[in-house]
Amino acid sequence: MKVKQQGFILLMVLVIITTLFLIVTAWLGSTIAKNNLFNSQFLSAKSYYLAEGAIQDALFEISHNQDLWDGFTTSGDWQATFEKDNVFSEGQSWQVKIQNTDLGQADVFATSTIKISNKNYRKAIAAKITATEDEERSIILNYD
Amino acid sequence: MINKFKNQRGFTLMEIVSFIGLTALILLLTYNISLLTSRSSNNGSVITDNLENGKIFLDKITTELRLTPYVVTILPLTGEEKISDIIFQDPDNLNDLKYSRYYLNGQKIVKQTIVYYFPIQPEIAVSPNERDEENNPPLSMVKNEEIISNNVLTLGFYGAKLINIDLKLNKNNKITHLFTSVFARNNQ
Repeated sequence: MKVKQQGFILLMVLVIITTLFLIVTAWLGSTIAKNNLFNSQFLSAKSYYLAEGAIQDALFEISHNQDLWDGFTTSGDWQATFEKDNVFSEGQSWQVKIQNTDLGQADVFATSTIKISNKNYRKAIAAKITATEDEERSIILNYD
Repeated sequence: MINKFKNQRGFTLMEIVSFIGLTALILLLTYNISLLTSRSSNNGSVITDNLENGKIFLDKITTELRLTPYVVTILPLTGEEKISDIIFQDPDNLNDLKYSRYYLNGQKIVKQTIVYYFPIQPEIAVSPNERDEENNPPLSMVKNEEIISNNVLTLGFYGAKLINIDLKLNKNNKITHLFTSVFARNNQ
């Protein structure tokens, strides 16, 4: 019995090309994912230090502004928001929200934003601050 | 037997050309992707290296600056005049009056532990602001020196009580730029 074998090669070639295509796609996908991961690592570190700097800036403002200090230490529901645009360089901004939980104690939420080619990368960090009972204005900072 | 071979067809020119074309295309594609992968992997390792170098320095100095009772260096107020050298009292050695100096040496950030003294009493550590009877400032002695970070392109400190730190790292022409601020709240 003679089986007609015409078309077998074409089938094999199609199977091989499809397999290669799938391998190459997976390889490319993995490269792109790795690249995104490295970029995200970089942006994460950059925005973390920006957000940390934002909290430090807010603490500086509270310590050096009588009204803010009075609000922080004498009002149980005092809150304040600090914002800065173009911090250190263009497209970098931060916002710090401070909400008192008690007299001289507050929750701090800092969000930094880095704008890169119309995409915003955000990082949020939370902390707690407590006014010390010294004569000098001093604040203890604890990260959550 | 001869008839059997005669009946089997070879490949047509079209089939051979198609095969060679497809193979060349696949090889070219594979080569390009392999190049892309290797470039991406190199970039990634450079970014990771830069970040590690930056993080080690920033984490160390921000922790120390937050707690230091005294920043010796008078820093410029604006970023245009930033300097790459800062000296402050080591918060971990308050009783020993030791001072930390961070500065850029080539492409490295170096930390020195410094002690100030008067030649007449070299065993007694003093503050850098103290003066002897003839109004001379104390001498300084480096007790320890360590490299904190490598591949640093620029380092800048500026600001008064809120100290801004501007750090640029460079490896294989890949620049990583990090900034932060520290409120030296115990600074007298």
